[in-house]
Amino acid sequence: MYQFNLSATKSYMEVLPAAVVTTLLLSGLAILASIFVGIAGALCRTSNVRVLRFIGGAYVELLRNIPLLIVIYLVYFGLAQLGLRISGFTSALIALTLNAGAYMTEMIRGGLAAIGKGQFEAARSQAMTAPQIYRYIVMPQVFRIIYAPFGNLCIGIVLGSALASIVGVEDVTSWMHTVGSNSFRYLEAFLMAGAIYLALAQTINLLRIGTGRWLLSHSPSATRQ
Amino acid sequence: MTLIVRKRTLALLAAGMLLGGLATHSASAQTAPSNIMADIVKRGTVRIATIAGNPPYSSVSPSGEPQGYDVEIGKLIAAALKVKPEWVIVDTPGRITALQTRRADITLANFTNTIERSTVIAFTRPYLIVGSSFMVKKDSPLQTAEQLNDPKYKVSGPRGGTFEPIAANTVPKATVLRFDTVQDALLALRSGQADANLGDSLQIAATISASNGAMRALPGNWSYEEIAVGLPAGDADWFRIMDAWVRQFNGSGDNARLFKKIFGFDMPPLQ
Repeated sequence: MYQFNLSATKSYMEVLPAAVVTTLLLSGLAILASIFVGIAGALCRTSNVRVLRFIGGAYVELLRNIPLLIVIYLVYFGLAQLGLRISGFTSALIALTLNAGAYMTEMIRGGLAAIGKGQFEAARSQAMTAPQIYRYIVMPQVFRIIYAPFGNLCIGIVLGSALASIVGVEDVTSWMHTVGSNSFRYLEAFLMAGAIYLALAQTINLLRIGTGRWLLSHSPSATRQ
Repeated sequence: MTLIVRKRTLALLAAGMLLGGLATHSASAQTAPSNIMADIVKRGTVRIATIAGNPPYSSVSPSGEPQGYDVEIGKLIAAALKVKPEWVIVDTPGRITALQTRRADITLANFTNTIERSTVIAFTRPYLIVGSSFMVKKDSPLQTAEQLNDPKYKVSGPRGGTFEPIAANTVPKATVLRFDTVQDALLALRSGQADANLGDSLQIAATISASNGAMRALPGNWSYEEIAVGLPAGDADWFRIMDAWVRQFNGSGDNARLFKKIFGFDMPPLQ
């Protein structure tokens, strides 16, 4: 007979904060890094230079069609076999960024495609330089378009970070396995970890909403209207 | 704005209730009747939990069939009970959960009887005695386990097995890398992510003899482990049947012959 007993996880609570910090750090860094990868990838994909367009497209198709699990294995075990010994945390961060960066690229490219050509021409007729056009005309609009799908992607990254434990990263999933295997209270450990991921994903989502509102109310197009 | 916040709170509440409901449901679902043998006869199969990626004890062949020493034992048990084996592939910690949640009738997976585990599940008498040892690459500078006791060295092993307490006792200062399967822990050593692998001494002996000199063991044995058949706790009849089977399996010499066939060397004595 299985008796549900959440207090059995109590003695593992002191190591939980460190695990939560690891998960938050890993997913937070991956979100930040994938934004830069996404912007670079989208600029490549929409570039006039054929080679750049090809590189951008190949990157997106390759990374979107390989499971994250395999990318983590490749970075951690594969590169080590070639002599490049990257720690579990860094390997997971690289793999998560590569994977999420591909989705970010497509998302931003979609946002860029929604901006009419006429706007570029109009901006150029006002003698704006390319960086100025992107900074003041294009990006504020792209930001509004991708704002909602970006939230989904952020949650996906937090949940995807759970795979990092397969290369020995001591995150919330690893904590869950430890509690389960040491206390034999697996059901409790699974439920606790599920609740923690729910809270973490929502925290990051609320941060996104807060930052988004602040940025939108301070964006140049909003103040100029 | 308030409306949005309220909707979000409601959604979170609903998710929470769903998790809560799941918990109560599972708790009641696990109050199963205890006559395991009768269930096996009725079902026509004995459900055996084992792990993948742990050769030569148990692994899954490319065609999806379980194979290895523990798998052969499972087939013999099923034949003795006059039913068919039904394999439940689990991970290292899942060996206990499968029995606790009655997803399996026995666990056969290089499964050490420990006091902690004995408080929640039952074990038969052992069918194998193993130790644990450290394995390194042939060209490693490491010669003894004492040298390994340094934060600059990484030791790999599987999560949720007896590896963790043994590593904490023998090389407390070394950096410990924990993996989901024995196979991944071995891969960490092969790929160079780990400097040493701590594992079952017989498995390490088998890995070294298959490696054509690429691997070697550090001298010393660091544990005494009784490998036994795991059973759900609380069914004395089922324990009596399985323990009698193991006694016969050991005494008849069938065990020693099977071991030699799979591992390629003589089985160490059962003490």
